[in-house]
Amino acid sequence: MSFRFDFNYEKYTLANGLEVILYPDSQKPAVSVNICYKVGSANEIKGKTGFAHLFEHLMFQGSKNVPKGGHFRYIEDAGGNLNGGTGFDYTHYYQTVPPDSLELILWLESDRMGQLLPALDEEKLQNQIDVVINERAERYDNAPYGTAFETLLANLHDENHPYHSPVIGFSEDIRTFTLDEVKLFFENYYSPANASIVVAGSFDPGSARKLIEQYFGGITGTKNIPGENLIDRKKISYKIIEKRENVNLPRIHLAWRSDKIFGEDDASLDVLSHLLTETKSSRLKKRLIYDDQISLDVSSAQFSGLQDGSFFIISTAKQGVDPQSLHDIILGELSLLKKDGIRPDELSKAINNIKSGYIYSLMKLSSIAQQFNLYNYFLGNPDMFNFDISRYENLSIESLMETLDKFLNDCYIDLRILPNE
Amino acid sequence: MNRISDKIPASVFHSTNLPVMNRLDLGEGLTLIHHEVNSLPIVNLNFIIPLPLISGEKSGTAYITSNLLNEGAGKLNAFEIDDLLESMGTTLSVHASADNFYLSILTLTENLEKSISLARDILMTPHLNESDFLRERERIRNRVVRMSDDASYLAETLFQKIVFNNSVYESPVTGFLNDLNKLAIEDVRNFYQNRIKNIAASVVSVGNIKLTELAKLIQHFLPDRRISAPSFQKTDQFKIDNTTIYFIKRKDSKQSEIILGQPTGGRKEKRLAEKIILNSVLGGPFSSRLNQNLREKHGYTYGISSGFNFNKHLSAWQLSTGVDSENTYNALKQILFEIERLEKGVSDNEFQSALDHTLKSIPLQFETQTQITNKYSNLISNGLAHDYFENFIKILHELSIEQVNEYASEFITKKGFVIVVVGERIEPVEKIAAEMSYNLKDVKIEDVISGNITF
Repeated sequence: MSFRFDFNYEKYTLANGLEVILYPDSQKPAVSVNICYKVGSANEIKGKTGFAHLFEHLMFQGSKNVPKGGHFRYIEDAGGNLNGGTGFDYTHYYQTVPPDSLELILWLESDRMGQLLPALDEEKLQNQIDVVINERAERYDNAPYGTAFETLLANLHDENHPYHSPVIGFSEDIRTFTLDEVKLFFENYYSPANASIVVAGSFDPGSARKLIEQYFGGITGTKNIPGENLIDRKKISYKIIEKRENVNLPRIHLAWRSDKIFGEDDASLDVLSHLLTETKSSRLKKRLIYDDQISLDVSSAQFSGLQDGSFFIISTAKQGVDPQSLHDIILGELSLLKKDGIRPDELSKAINNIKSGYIYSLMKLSSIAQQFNLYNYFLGNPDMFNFDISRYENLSIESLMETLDKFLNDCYIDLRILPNE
Repeated sequence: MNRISDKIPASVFHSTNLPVMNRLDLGEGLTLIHHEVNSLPIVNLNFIIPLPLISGEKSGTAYITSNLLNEGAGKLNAFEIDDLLESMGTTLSVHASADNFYLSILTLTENLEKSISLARDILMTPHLNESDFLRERERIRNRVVRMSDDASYLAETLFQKIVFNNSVYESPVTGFLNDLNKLAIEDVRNFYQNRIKNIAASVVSVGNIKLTELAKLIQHFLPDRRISAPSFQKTDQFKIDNTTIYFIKRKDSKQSEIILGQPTGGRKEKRLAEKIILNSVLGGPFSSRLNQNLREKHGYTYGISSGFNFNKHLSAWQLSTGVDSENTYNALKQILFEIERLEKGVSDNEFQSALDHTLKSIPLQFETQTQITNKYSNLISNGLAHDYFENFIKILHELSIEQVNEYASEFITKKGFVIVVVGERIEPVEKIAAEMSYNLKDVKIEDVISGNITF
């Protein structure tokens, strides 16, 4: 497979610091706009977890010229779709609309970037606190195994680590947010100098440049953006945690500290994850599901951010199976992999699959827009599509074995969620 | 200087052009529907066999059969099939719904021929070994047990059982535990022989290959599917309990999961456009009345939406939400208030918003190869005419607010609702049941997943 991407794009920066990336593609039936603000939960302080995420909600509550509910209403009436998302390192807002509605999107985004505060009030804040508490209940507290991830984060990282707490935050913190804190957060982080905007799809670049200057050029904001909290890379030692919950089957979660996004071992960890659990013939799936038949499912992932990463292996035991046996087999297979090494065909298949999956993921315009923004943020260059693929193509068995030894060692968190007694 | 205007920029929507699909009857029971797109070197293809469920068959038979087909076929075992797919970077999945059996391929064009050749082995010479069957059956049983931890799964499973009671749609596609326990490998082999092998099929594809080239590949690898699918067997008139609130107690729940709905007509129904618009106003997109009320005004929920559960033969309208336990009663009150309010019709603005949203969002639903493939596969799956989308757009263009409001009182009938609540506290449900003059019935989780519910 020798496919190479050739995206005809341009990048420039407005006087106020807003980075602009334009990718015209007249073959598409739509235009997608993605704005990335370089702020996430990694910027929060202790006792104020969930602030970045709550703020994302408030960005949909109207701005000076947009009434409450207007942001959704205008885009839905235009036939578009929209949402936002908050991570550890960034918050993004995205919408895809028919081509003739590009100006509407730029107007809406600029209004809330430049004039959010005049429209914010206590009632909106309290309403969205209730909504976020319900979101937390639905997606975490009331979901089976829903709080496993935050338990792992809290044990992988010490209290001051930027990835110690879950992005959604804790209910007791969320309830305490004040309007003054919201205003300060906006002033600190929602500045054009801390954002980048991607326009992708069917549009005229000349008109888009004029519209972006017209709507965003006059927005001012601080250029002194507070940075993320910095990591304290403490070494963890093996720790077993058992929690009893309202579930029927035991589930085991093993977590290691690993490499940051685009770090030298990041791609190797992706490939290791693939050859451990992705396909039926992957090491752990074959052993746990087909040979020993003791597991309902097994999955793994390299989860990486701007400053740090974690590697997870998760498996659900079948009824009557002791989770200790899952643990022992997983660790045994990792030892075998270290001892016997990785077969060349395993590596080439995994790389092939990761590459094709990446190509498939770029069918959607909104995914291309998002990818431009992420490369721009993490690597300082939006056009890193081919570089990203080459990270995998250039891997060798030797480099994978080094990564395996370096990270998947005996320093890990062993979280077991067990059925209530 | 701030140059942001306080005026909403106007949007001029030009067209709802749909992809041009080329149809070809390949003979021998095969129809090909294809759209050529050359932006990426990939092809997405769905092979669809109609699967009218027949009363008396054990629930879950189609699902486990679809799981087993690629556990070994032709000269390859399950691992060799996966290895081959991985080496090609191809995704091949086999699955069943209530109405159809699907084999889906997403592949780089350079590997299309090899992928279709593998599909032939899976469809024509699957191993269907007993050892694989026993392992998969055990996994599915465990999966059902795990899913029973999930409030939304429980609510949906019980709702389906009630609203489609005594019909072929009453069970989850994975099957009820009672049926899974009785399933034998012979059931699977018979199902494959009579319902899949050599049954007439359709192929829907989108990607960078010419229609004629694709037709040759299909004819070469998948010939002779002359046997018509058995016809759908109508069951006796089924009775729906729409005067009872069903409550499933789930310990330690932070939220109550609510599903409320009733049977409705299908996609071929004459007044479908009116229904779509009314549902859009009530609980369709984010700006809907229900979401504005329960989420944006009261903060009871993270989200609420309503929509249609369309099947080929029987369909339902339903809304679902998770609300904080303390506000279960208040949320149900507001839901009923909004349903009643809808009977009085919608405003000019609401009508125009819903119509705009419905019409203008259509092109975005046909953006990617996968979206187009699935949209046209849906036409086949539901037995709809090939110009269904074009006709629906035409109907929407001609729709008036008078037509919509005239139909508002019929859209959601007052004959009663099927209501399911999964949560910790029963008192708020008792209170609303008393106000509605509904019965209240406790249902055990074990009975929901086993299929032991009787009415």
